[in-house]
Amino acid sequence: MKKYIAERLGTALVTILVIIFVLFAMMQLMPGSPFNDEKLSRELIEKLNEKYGLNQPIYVQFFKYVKNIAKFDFGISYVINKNISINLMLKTRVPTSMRIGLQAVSVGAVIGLLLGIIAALKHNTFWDNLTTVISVLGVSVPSYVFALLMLYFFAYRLGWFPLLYTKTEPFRSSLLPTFALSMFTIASIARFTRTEMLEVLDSDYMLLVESKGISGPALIFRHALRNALIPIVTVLGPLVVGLMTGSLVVEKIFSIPGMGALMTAAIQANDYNVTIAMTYIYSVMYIIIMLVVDLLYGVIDPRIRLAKEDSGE
Amino acid sequence: MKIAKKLAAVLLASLMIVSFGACGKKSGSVDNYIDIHINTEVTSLDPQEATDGTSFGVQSQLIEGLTGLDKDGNTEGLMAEGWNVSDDNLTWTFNIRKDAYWTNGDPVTAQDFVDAFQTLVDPVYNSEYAYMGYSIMQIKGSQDVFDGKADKSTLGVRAVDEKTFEVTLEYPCPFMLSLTCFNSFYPRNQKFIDSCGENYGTSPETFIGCGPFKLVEYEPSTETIVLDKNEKYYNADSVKLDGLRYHVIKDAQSAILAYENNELDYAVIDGSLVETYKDNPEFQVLYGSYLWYLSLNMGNEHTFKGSNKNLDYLKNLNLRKALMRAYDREAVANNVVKDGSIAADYVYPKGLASAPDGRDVREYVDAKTVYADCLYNKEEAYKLYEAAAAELGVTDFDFELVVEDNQQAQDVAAFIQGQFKDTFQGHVNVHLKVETKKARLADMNAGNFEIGLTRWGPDYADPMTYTDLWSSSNAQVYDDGTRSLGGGWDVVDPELSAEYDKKVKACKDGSLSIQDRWDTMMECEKILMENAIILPVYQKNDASLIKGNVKGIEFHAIGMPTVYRNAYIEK
Repeated sequence: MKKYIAERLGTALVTILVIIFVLFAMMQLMPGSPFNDEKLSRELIEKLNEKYGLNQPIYVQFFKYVKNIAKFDFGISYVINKNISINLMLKTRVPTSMRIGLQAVSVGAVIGLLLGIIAALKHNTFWDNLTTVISVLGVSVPSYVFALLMLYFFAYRLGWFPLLYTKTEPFRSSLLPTFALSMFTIASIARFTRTEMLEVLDSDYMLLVESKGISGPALIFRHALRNALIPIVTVLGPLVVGLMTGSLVVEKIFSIPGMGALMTAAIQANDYNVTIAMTYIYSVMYIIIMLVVDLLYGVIDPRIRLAKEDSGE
Repeated sequence: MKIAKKLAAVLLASLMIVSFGACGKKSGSVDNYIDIHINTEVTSLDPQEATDGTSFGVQSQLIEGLTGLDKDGNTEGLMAEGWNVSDDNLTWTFNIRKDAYWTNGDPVTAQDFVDAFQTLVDPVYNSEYAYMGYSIMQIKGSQDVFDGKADKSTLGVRAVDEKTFEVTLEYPCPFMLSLTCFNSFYPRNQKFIDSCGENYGTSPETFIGCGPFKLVEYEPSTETIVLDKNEKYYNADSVKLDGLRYHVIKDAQSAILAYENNELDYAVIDGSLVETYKDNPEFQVLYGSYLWYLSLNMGNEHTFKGSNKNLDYLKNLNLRKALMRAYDREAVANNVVKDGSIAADYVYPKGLASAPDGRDVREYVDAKTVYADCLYNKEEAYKLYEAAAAELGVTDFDFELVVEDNQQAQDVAAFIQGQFKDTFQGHVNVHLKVETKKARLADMNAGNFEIGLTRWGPDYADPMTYTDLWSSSNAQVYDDGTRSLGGGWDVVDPELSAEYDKKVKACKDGSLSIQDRWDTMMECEKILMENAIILPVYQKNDASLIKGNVKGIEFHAIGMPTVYRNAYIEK
């Protein structure tokens, strides 16, 4: 197992290096530079490129950057917050996006699982149909539509929640974005759970378990759900990263100072360092989550654990 | 199954708990703060570093320059209580207020202004607005300092004593007192800034000001900025507000809901919402500053090496004039942009500056009569097209129009595209090339375009901020060393462009009286319009909503931030 994890970490490191290099190359291909503005003359642009070392060959810039990243120094922003350290910009943004993302994933996973289980157990009844309707809506309606609807009814009309995110009430003002973001997760998890549960409930071993006299929660959670979880965890992994790194539109609607908003701004402004820093964080989070998902497989299904240990030794 | 029912019950119960727990009071602004909507983040609190309107707006509540504008738009002393200028109009002496202090208790001194002016043109600091010092104000020795040929200590600024600041210029500057209002010339408490190192301007602890308000809540690219009344301000007694709160809200719908919900006192609204709110008594249109226009590439041989026929076609005066008269600018402003913007049949925007007789520039020269030959007119445009077609021996034209990827710019470009097609009965077509703003500017700077929809905002309240754009001091220098004036019009008509250049020079070197200088700048506009060097489209204005009980906010048309020091909330 240890060797397996070490191998995965090694691959992860190489992947990150490749990602940074590809990003660097793509930045060079992107039209414009951070210093295009009506007001800037050519000589000023040249001086600015010199100041920030952007006139050096790409490989020199690349190695300098990797060296700094190893020290967790993402450099400074050129445009969005002139000459200010990106670490400082991310200090509050990363935790905010991650917290709201985790809230959304938790809400989404719990409600989605419950809905899926109910639908499977009450197959072809009102509850099943309701779950299907919720799933179709959740998957097909974009999260910003939910966000705007919730904003209008719950915050503006009823006044139950603050309209916009505020640091003075970080939890209460994050509830609406949490629900808006969790709709997609609820829908996809409910759908997967339902399908998987139906399959498991139909299987021979469930018949055996039932005939042994096991029933109630033990039957559902220990035997049925556990077997249905593998595909669900696979779907949940990328969703977790997607939500934790912040949603562009939902962050904009609720005016949340998160990572998603910063990422769009950085790309539009050609703010190279910020874009690379954000993508780097995104990649690292993705790789970590995928690693966790892989390890979770082992916990959920002993067969996978044993197979990996065999190949790992 | 029983378990399913239980699960359903748990699910419902948890949903209910969450929604009940979320019940709470409706918030509204009841305190003595004005809640202000801004739609972009502040990029920098360092006045010599910032280049955008949002940053300038917040800075100017926190720091004050030598001069400012009163509620009628006249220059008044802020950090300077008085000034005089030498007989040759080259040396300005400002007396700094005795009772002006920084928020840490340091007095505001002449040295703070010396540091600020030096920083602005210091090539090591490399301010993006350095040209305000060396090209606009033309401080003595500034070009050499900026080029790295002389040390910044040689710059023509000095502290005569603790409270007397002196600036020497290369040429007389008739709009000097309007320039000293601008953020780039705000004072710097260098001792404090040095003590903060690279953290200067990133938190209330590492920022210092001397204005009517002080910073109490801020972090880089934050969504909320809180300012409190500054008790150390020399005129603190006159500040009636307890403070200001800025809220960064990028989504127009969310902003309007927050305004309706009393979470904002002042909201900027965009074109899509103007229709709904234009009859609301709280609706206001503020003269913005940006002139949007079509820039024509009249043959930058540099880029296309003569291989692009279209650039040669644009050298034809009749064709350019045909284009100028082919699109309905009123319709662009009223039906497409719809945010209070107005049609521009001119180069110098309305509200930019006042003539020596006190009239606004657009009253002094009435575009509708003086430039009657440039106004929208389908029939005339078609006749001009026929003349051009005969001269060029070509009947069908197809140009590329480069436009940036924001919705408004694309809508305007698409509308103009349709109007060209309609006016010229299909003989003149344009196809749109949509790029990010950065890419558009890169392409246009490199001469790599045919027609471009672009904009220019003024830097100071004088027509020269526009006139200068098409003079040789603003020539584009390309990689291969060739130079070209705006759109390459010096290639098309070298004589006229030389004459224009001479006029601009005369306006800048102090050889003309104030009235003659003004009239010369008006002649320059006439040259640009009558030769269709640029094709103006519209003047961007801002529509906003301001709560009825908020009084005394002072808006200034051009390039000047909004002033809140005299604002108050009516109880």
